[in-house]
Amino acid sequence: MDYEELFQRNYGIFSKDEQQRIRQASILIVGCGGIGGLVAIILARSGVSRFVLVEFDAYEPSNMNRQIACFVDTIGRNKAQVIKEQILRINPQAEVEAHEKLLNHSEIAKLMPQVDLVFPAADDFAFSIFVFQDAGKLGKTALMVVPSGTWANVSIIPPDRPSPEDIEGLPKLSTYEELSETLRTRKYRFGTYFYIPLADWRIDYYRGFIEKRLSPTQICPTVWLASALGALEALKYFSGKWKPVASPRYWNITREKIRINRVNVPCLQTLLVWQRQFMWWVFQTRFGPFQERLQEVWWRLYYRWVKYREEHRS
Amino acid sequence: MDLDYKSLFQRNYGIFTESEQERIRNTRVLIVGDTGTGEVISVILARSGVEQFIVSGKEAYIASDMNRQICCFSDTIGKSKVAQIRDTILSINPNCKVIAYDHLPSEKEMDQLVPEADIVIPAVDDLAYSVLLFRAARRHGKPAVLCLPSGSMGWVSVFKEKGPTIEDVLGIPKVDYEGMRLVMRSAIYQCAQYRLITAGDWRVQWFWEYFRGNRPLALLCPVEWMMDSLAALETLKIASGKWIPKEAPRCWYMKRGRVSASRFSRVVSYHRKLGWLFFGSRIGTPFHKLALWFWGKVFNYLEARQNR
Repeated sequence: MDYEELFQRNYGIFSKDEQQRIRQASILIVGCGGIGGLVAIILARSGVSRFVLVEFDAYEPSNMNRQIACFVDTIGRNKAQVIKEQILRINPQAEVEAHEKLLNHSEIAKLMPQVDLVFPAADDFAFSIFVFQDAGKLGKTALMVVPSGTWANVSIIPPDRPSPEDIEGLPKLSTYEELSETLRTRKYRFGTYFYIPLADWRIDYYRGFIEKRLSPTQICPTVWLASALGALEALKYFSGKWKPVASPRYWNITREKIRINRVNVPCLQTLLVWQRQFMWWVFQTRFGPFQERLQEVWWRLYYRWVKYREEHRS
Repeated sequence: MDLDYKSLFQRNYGIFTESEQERIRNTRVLIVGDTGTGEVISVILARSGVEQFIVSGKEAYIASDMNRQICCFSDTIGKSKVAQIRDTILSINPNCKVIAYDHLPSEKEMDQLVPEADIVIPAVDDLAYSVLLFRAARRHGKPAVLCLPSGSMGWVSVFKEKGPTIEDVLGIPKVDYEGMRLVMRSAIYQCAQYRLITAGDWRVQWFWEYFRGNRPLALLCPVEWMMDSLAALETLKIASGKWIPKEAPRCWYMKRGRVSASRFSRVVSYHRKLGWLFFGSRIGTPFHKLALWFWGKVFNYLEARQNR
């Protein structure tokens, strides 16, 4: 099976040159879970031949609802290893480098110079943010895919353009530990209250997310939709056939609409981002504790109201 | 290890209530066809918690399926697609009940098969055949999901008992299967598919080879899987009853690698219907040559633009 036979149907769209560019492209994927694993497989099926995968984690039953290589017989195995096997079963000539252990940021940064595109897809968003920053410092373009419930953001992040922090409204902190700790705090997690109306989270699950630190809820169609869109953006970038949707523009996916937004151009997400940034700034001033108390009151009212609506609807 | 339903699909419960998830679990979907579309949709549905499948298809994997079909690997080439997809569904959730048929149902068999399902998903390359399935679904009052990717273009929509039919929105003449096949084989119909080039980014050379029967449809993995995910999302909307699906004439539309919530174009459908009225009748026959000359010029222009 030669390359042209396997990817024959791609030549109906890409010229020989474009497909050759795709073939020679390489991608670093940090985290091979829902989005990372899927983007890897879609790109392998589109003809990309060089992959560097980083993942320390193994498949567990709760991954079954969305992760492409999670099956009854792969539960308990390392994700990067399983994805590597699948890629080689798709294209035996692909070069796949799998790192099956936890790497720190400087170790990951050392893997960057050899690839064309960096895809931080770690479960821990704070970890991904610092991978994005390293990619920017090394002048590498990165791919961002952020799904939650039925909502998702997708964008290509070239260096020196608005970063994922600007798109999602995260505070700019200097160390990973600080950011990771902040993202886990209750007051910060309230900044994601729009998950309920926009991403269709149920209020009780959200409460568990705030109070008991449950993992974000995910459903297969949205995760796969966002990942396929991310893989398409990567292909646009590799082939040069279409202009990718790159920062400051980004895709905004909900179950009703898919559209392109722009950082700091008025729309719903921009307002939410401004609100987050403003409230983060207030938390740093002496009104911080007062705002926190206000947030508690607001949360009690919000919970009751949403709960009432949920019950009323059913 | 504990592999009961709740532990496999625990992340779904952040969105669906127990009764909604139970409804999804008990929904029976009928997926007809050998295309990558049907496979990806059935995998997504299995991963979302659907447990009852009827799948049907007759082909085996070939090398050129590798670029988009989810169960096509170097070690499954030559094996039956339906058997592979059944095994995959069962290795996601061993409690699934999958009924697999190794042939495509005839028009008569459709009338037996469709009433058994709750949702019909036609996934065949042959548009004329899928129109038959949409008609059968409508006859029996079952919702049917359209997922039609090609090149960098695609549509996803839901057709219910009421509302416009697939023939209305795509401008397909309302004739029987043989009649539709005849129409789709005519040169004048093929010229009217120019949007495969302008909106779907097909290469002009490939377009001609395809209509001469020498080439398959041009398809790209991310585009196809994105349309499949949207189709699966629409299926879940119907199955759970939580949201209103995107019913025709509303649809998800993708053009030149950009996707949006949209409507089927009335211009295109009326253009086709009028074209069929004129060119399909005796009055129009003498004008075929003129039209083909015109389209020849258009395609030459498009090809020159692509090679620039």
